[in-house]
Amino acid sequence: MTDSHNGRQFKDEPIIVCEKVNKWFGDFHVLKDVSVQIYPQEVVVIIGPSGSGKSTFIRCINRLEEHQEGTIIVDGMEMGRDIRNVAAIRREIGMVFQQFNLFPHLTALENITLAQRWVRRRPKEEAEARALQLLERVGIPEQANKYPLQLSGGQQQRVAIARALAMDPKIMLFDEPTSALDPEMIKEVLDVMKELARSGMTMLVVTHEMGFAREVADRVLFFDGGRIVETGTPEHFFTNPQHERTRLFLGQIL
Amino acid sequence: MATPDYFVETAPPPTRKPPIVQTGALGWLRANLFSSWWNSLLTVVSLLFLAWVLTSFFQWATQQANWAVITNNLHLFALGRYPQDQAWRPLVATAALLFLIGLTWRLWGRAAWGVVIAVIVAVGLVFLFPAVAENLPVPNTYFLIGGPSQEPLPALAYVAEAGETITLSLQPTDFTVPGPAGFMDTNSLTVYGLGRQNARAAQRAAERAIAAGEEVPPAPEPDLVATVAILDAAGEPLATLSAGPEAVPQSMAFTFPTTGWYMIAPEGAGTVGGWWLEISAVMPLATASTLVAEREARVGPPPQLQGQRVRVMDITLLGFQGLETFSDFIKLHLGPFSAALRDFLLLSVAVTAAGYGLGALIRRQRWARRAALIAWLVSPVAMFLLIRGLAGVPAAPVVELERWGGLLLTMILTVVGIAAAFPIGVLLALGRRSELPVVRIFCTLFIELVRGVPLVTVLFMASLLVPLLEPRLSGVDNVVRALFGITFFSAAYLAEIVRGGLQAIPYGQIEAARALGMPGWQITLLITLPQALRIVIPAIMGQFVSVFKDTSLVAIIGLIDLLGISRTVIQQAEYIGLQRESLLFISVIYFVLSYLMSWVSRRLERTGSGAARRM
Repeated sequence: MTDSHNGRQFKDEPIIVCEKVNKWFGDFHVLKDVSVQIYPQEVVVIIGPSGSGKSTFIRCINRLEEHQEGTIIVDGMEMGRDIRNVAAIRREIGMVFQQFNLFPHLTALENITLAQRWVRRRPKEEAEARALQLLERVGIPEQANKYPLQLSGGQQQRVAIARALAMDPKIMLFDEPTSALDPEMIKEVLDVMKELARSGMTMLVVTHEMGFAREVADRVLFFDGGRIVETGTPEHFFTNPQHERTRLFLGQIL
Repeated sequence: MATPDYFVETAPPPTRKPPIVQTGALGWLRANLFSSWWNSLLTVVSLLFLAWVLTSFFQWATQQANWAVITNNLHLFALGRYPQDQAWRPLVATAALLFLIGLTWRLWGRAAWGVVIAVIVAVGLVFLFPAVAENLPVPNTYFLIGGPSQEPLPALAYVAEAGETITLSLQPTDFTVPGPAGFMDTNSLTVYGLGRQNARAAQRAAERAIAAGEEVPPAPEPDLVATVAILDAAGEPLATLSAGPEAVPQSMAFTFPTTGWYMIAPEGAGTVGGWWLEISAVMPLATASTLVAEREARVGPPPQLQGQRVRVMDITLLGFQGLETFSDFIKLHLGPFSAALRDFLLLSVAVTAAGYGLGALIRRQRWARRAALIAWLVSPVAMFLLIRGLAGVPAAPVVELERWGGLLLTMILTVVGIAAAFPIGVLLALGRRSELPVVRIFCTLFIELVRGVPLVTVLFMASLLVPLLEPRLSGVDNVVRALFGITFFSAAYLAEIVRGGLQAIPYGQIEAARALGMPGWQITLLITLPQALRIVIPAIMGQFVSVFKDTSLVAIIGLIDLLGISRTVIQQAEYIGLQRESLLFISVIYFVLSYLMSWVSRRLERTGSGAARRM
């Protein structure tokens, strides 16, 4: 399985290294021998049918799920039983969920400052300044004092992105960030993600938005049945898929 | 054939108000109470039933109930056997608490206009009733002369002020009509009852004779001559009134020349007939020891009379018989009760308003809320010390917990039971969800054991068994044992309530927090618990109301709380048989306080993000 395909060249060492990662849910073998390397500032889009293990895979990267076999090394730290490593790794990774998962009892501003103050130990004023800065970056500074229930889906997801960015992560994981949104709001979230990609963030995005993949991704991974079936640059991937399963899948959705 | 019409909207239809009968009071009535024939019938029947119940109750409450048991025993109801001269201490503690409540109220919110209006109305009424009662006439006192009794009539002793005027009136009676309504001694009541029985028997005999065609023996002529004399403390007659044997009523007015004891001495000569002595504008004297002492200091002890028994016209002799008029109700019950409450109510309102005002002044300061929280943490200890007293402080001698009773005890048990049970309950709930097996098993066992046993049993165990098992603990106060029992019982139920709330938090939020790098304890403290607690506020407040009423079970271990006091009060000689009044009074107290708790709960639900939720 080759990783470079006339795509972008990266001079640094890979920031995420996964080597033969296997995971079982009980008896069900959900990840089979997954091996991949992600480079800093690379935008990787993961596509595939539902149940193929793509969400599980990225959740293993920040230990929301535990893998039983194989190694995952993030920023030089191996992910294992050691809690200190896990905590350190989590500080470097930000995650955005399909269901937004904002804290409903806090305002948007408080959502973003909470982890800054309690995990990064930043003082209140600094945290709030950073939070307002990020809200402006995602385009909704005026919603700072609203509660999540008062915001639309697109606005909530953007607050969630700002919340993850507030921790200054090196890597951002996106687990189907626009799947719960209606079409009018998908664009506003994708625009934020595109801006983020252009600014040089390492991103791992699970999505069904092929337009986004074509436009922004450096590399596309196709998951099926718990394994990576094919990878490639977006141009190669969407115009000339090699594997049969890939062709079948793309034929149904494009 | 028809073609569908295609059109493009040019102007949107205007937004209007709905038609009248759908909204407003009429609309509500129509939709809810009279929406169908069946509903309308039910509404009418229910309203009639309600009216019947309410009027019966109202009639009993204003015409027959003797509320003196409440008015004269307020100290017992409030404090139990706490010494009366030290009553200022719980009062100061209550004032401090109310001040703190007022302060907290304004710091964290504001009072609705409805509250202000309700308070103003309450204070107004409490001033109005005694003022009205002042101007209402005292019910008459009645004393029977004659009738089927061989008892010699006693002289009635009374304390009169100089210039006070009374009217004595002699009314004839032939025992055929119901007795008068007013103050009356039990002897007169009994004798009149006997007289009425005799009269009815004679009536029936006469009817039988007529039916049998026999001659009716003529009724005997009344020959009773009734005489009443007003005597001074030495026994010298000042005025006399007599009537009879002809059935012609007589009356006279008398003005007392000086302040002091006087005697009214009735006498009856003859056997047939009866006379009611009606004394107007005389209020039975009080029997409370402090008031008796005051009276005797002023005018000396009751007088003696040679050859005739002297009875003081106090409430042990005279009780109200018959149906009160509404004027009597206000004069005798509503007025004195309001007067008794007036000072306390004014103080409470003033102190709470002062706290509220202070809150308004300082609410913008950064230190205000923190200071209030510290005050709340410190105040229980301070209040406890004040009420209990400290050895070696002469101004505040120690009052042992055993003497605390009535509402004081109920509130202490409730407040401590809730305040101490809350953190324990939350810890138990978290422990039950813990991943450490030892913690989880211990918490589960504790919760299930305590919940599986009735509170009565828990109290028993705390009170009786613990000292047996652990002799070193036998010195612990009974009240403290009850507190332990109630606290642990309440904590177990709270743990389950909180656990339910914790389970209601969507797991995604916890994942998001974990992804942000927050450790478990931070997630619990900042995300899970605040939301869980807010969700279960209704259940928690319900538990508190439950604890409040369960405190009445401490009767089983010999403590006298509000319920216990209500039963003790009616064991006093003057108030035997007044269970209904006593129980009704404490029911009202329980209801008012429970409703207050529910109201606080409803307001709490509407704060913070709950306001945005609008469920």
